[in-house]
Amino acid sequence: MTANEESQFQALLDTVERLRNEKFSSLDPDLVKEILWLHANSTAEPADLSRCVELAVDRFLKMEGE
Amino acid sequence: MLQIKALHLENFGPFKGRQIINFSSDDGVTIIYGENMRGKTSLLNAIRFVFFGKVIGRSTKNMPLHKVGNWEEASAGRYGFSVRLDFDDSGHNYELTRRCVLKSGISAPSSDDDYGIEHYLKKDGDVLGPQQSQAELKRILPEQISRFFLFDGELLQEYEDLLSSETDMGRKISEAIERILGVPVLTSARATLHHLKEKSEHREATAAQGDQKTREFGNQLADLHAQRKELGKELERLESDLDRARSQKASLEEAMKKKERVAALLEKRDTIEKLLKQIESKRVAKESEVQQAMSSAWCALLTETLRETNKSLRARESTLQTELMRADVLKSLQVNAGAACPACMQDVSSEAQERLLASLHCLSITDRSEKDRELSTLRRKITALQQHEESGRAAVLKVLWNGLEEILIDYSAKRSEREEIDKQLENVDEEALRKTKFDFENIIRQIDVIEKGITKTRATLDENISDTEAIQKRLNKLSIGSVDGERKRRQFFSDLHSLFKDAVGAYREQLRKRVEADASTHFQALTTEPEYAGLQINGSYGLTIRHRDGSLIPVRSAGAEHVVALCLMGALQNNAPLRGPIVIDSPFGRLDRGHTRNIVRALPTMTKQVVLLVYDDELPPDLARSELKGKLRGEWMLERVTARHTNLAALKE
Amino acid sequence: MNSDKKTIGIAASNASALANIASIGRFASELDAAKFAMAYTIKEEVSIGSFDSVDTKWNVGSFDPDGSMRSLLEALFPDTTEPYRLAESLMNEGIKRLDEALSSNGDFYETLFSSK
Repeated sequence: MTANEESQFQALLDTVERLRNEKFSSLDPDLVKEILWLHANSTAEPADLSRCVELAVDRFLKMEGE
Repeated sequence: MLQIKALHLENFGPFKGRQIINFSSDDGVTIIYGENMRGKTSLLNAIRFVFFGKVIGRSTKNMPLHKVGNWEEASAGRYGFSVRLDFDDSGHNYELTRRCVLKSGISAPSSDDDYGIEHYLKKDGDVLGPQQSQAELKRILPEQISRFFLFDGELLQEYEDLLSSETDMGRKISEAIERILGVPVLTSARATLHHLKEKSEHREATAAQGDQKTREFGNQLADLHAQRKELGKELERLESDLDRARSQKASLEEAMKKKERVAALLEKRDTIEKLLKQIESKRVAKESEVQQAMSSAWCALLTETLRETNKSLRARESTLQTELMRADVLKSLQVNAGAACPACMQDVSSEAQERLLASLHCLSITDRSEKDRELSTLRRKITALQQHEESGRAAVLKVLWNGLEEILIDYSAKRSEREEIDKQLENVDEEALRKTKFDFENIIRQIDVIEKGITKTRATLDENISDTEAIQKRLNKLSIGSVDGERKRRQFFSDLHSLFKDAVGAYREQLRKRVEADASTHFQALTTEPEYAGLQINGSYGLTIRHRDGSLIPVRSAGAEHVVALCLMGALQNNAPLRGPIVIDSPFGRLDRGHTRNIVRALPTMTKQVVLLVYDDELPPDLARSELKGKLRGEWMLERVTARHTNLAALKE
Repeated sequence: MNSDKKTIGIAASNASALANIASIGRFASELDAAKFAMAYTIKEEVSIGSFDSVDTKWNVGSFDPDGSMRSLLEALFPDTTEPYRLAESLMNEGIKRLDEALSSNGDFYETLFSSK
């Protein structure tokens, strides 16, 4: 990611994080960041991207359960 | 960040032969001076051509490519042209080449069909495949926002489109802006999570179906889910249809706009046709009236003659009548001697009687009947003369003829008008134009139908969602192990989806505020009007000037449009990861010295690389040098060799 | 015994001229045009030339349904004993002269509305 792309990502993250904190504080910030990062950087097809996100969420839920 | 290194031209526009212009790799401004018609716009077009294969002529119309090649070369029988752009982006170096080549077998080209276009992109020395090349170019400089980098001061209409979110072009442009500002990251995350939320709901429904206690709810949820899936597909299809229809509408609008004049002529001609038909009806009716009246024209011709003859016949009648009357008087005197005069009923004295009898020459019976016959004939003739004199009404006839003449003149005039229009429409494809209009009306109806369909589908979808939520609430009250796990998972995805959904709106709002703030900052540096406080943004990134009293300045001059457009460019450059050179043709043409000075000073702060295409009076070299100082990286001149041959000459590299 | 004509005819040489006059003068029929030609001759007071044989066009019943035409001609030409024959001559002379006048750039409107 270039410097400009990084700063844009940070701007996106700031917005999402602020909202998470305000309204969805039960959602894990690292997981949210991972989801955002996947969409900012992946060149995968939507179906594959969706699968990645699903796996990330299930992984998180499993860890929480343990 | 996109940085131009060199532009290679071969027979492009007035640039005959092979010519190169090199750009400094240091940040700053390159100025290219040239009088009108020397090729400044051609340079901008060369960059457009190499990226998008298009060349723009006057009033934003695409110019046919077969007219772009150097004319001097063309008159020597050498056709075609090419452009190569060397540039850097994101740490890689690129060479983009696009050529317009004459097809084999063609010796005298007359249309774009006689040419073929070849293009390829080299990245770090390697030629990329067509799909990869396309993807790279789309990433480096999407066509929809190229207007914010390749800026033609003359083509302000495109910027005006932004102010109206109603136009399809306006919507496309604002979508393109959002794309480079990062909005798609959030919208695609929202879409992904929506899909996963749906999927998890389906899993929850399936789990509920697996347990007797929750089976009924599970079934209902599964049904609703299936319905929602179909509705979603339907909505997607409709939205895609709407998009396509809107695109079509925009192209048709564009086509109609180009043909506005022709359309107006056609309409005028249709009106005249209708009028001609009306006049023709009037003519036929009038002709009939005239014809009827002409049956007594011969009488009108003889009015004087008839009158004269009538007069003399009446005199003769009077004489005859007198004679006959006298004869009657005398006869009665003879018969009734001594009686009163039968005419005046007075007594006739005996002396008078004697005198009368002495001079009497009574008419004989034959004389009398002759005179009676003559009188009768005379009266017959007088009646005939009278009858025909009365029927010959020349004045009425004249009015009718004049009326007809007027109608004929009117008809002739209208017909001439129509013939004139026909001449102008000689090479016009009327059929095509009418079809365009018809298609346009059709597409508007289609759009209406689709929009109604979308509204209806959305309403059904909302109902479905609310029914689903109601059932989920009831399901939540029953605690079953397998279902609980799925429920938790579903809730998690639902929250994630809501988060990103809210984030899209919030981010858009933030972006608009930031673009507005940055654009206003630029504006304050550029404007010379102290009462202007800044710029206000609308939903589609259109900017309006704001007075310090808070009111908006709705209308502005072409010069002010320039300034505002530049501010938007600067703001986009600040907020987008996509940064590139700003190439401006005639930036100061409509600006006064004060604005010009401000802009020259501000440009290097907006972006790293600026290329200005100007003429001397527009931006005097001294002014440029004094304002830019160390930021002036190159000066070039477009030198006239002939009317159709310009050379690029470096003044300072 | 009345030796006057029972039919009115138009000389062969005048046939197309009559059709032309009827068209230019916007007459509903050639009979109307012929009457006009006759009136033209009367108005212009020209002498009547001779004509080759005529082709019968109308009977006097069509030409003069109520007899008023005969009375009129007798009024205008008291010496005539054969008003219908006279009418025929006047017509043919009129057609010839009108045709000549119109051919040499004469205007029908002027002919119709000018006062002598």
